[in-house]
Amino acid sequence: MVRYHHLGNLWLTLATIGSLGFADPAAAQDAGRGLELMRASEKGNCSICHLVPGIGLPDEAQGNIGPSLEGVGARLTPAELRAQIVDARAMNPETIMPPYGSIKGLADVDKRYRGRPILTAGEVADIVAYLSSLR
Amino acid sequence: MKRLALAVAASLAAIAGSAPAQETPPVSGYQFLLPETQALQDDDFANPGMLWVELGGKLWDEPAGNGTSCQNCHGAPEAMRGVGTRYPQWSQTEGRVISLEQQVNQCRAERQQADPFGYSSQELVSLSALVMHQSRGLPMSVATDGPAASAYRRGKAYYETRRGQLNLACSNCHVDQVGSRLRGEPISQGQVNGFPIYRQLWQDMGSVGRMIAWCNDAVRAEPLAEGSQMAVELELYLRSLGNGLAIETPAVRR
Repeated sequence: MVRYHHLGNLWLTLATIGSLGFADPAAAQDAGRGLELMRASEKGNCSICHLVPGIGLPDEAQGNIGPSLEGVGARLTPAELRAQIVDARAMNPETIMPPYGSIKGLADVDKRYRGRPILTAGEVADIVAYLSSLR
Repeated sequence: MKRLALAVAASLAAIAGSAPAQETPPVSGYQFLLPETQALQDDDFANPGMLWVELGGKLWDEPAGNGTSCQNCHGAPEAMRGVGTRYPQWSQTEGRVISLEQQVNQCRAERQQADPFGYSSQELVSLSALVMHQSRGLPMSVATDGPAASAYRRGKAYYETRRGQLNLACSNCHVDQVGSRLRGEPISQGQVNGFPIYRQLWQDMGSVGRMIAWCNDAVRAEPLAEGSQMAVELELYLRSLGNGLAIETPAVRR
């Protein structure tokens, strides 16, 4: 178990190095792909909790647990959006929002998903690109 | 739909304003259903769950193992009225809290000398549905004190612990977000007074254990097997949250 965590940390470290040194997620970001990721139930599945303009569902078929994302690109900077998606606990430790880009402190994760977050850094960047376009 | 949702929201708001979350009175999942789903549950001729109750009735009379049937010891199923309100309960024989399904299997092993049914088998869920159905309308009343107290505490701790890749505890949704909309559906308290239920998503009947396993899968947590001790203790806690609610078996849920 301990070894597993070390392995997870190693991957995280590699991912961090990758994003700093070799790949710039911002350079490859794609708002269209971001919307697809927000729609996908295995990925963002965002409208389960939020109203997502452009997702293609009637308002009453979208969740209202989190705030509506209408105009969110005007309210939050890309860095703030990214921080909220990656690990909303940094802003509110009691948040119900799952940490889409962090595995810190997770317990009892099924082995199919263990050791990796829901979204990669690149996927988060795509979603941030879409959200930033909502003004 | 809107009127019902508003009624639920209004009663919950009234409750929220006056008492802490733990003292929120239990509200059956029935109150969160669309009227057409309620109507399906209310009509015994249309309620798909009654098929399992009927199958349970056949199994009740069927000799097994040493030639004994449930009926030989217990008489008609109607004699079981009230029994289902108390499970899961402490078993002196087993030295632990057991579910109604496990009680049926214990009878099979000891009284009928027959092989136990698989926990998620159609036979076991049918017999469980038959017995629970006899208590329809009676208030659920599981004991959480005495020898069941430690199981109750473990069940409560499980309920309140975040888990899985989605990092969600049962309570994050079923206590903190009751009445909010998850996609198009209002979140209920997760009451289990109608179990075993006919779930439209499954197009099948399922025990509380099956529902717990489904929820764990949804938050991408380690599976909690039906019939595992932790699942039974969580069921005890869930049923205790609904103590006083009328049993609805077989309930219909989405």
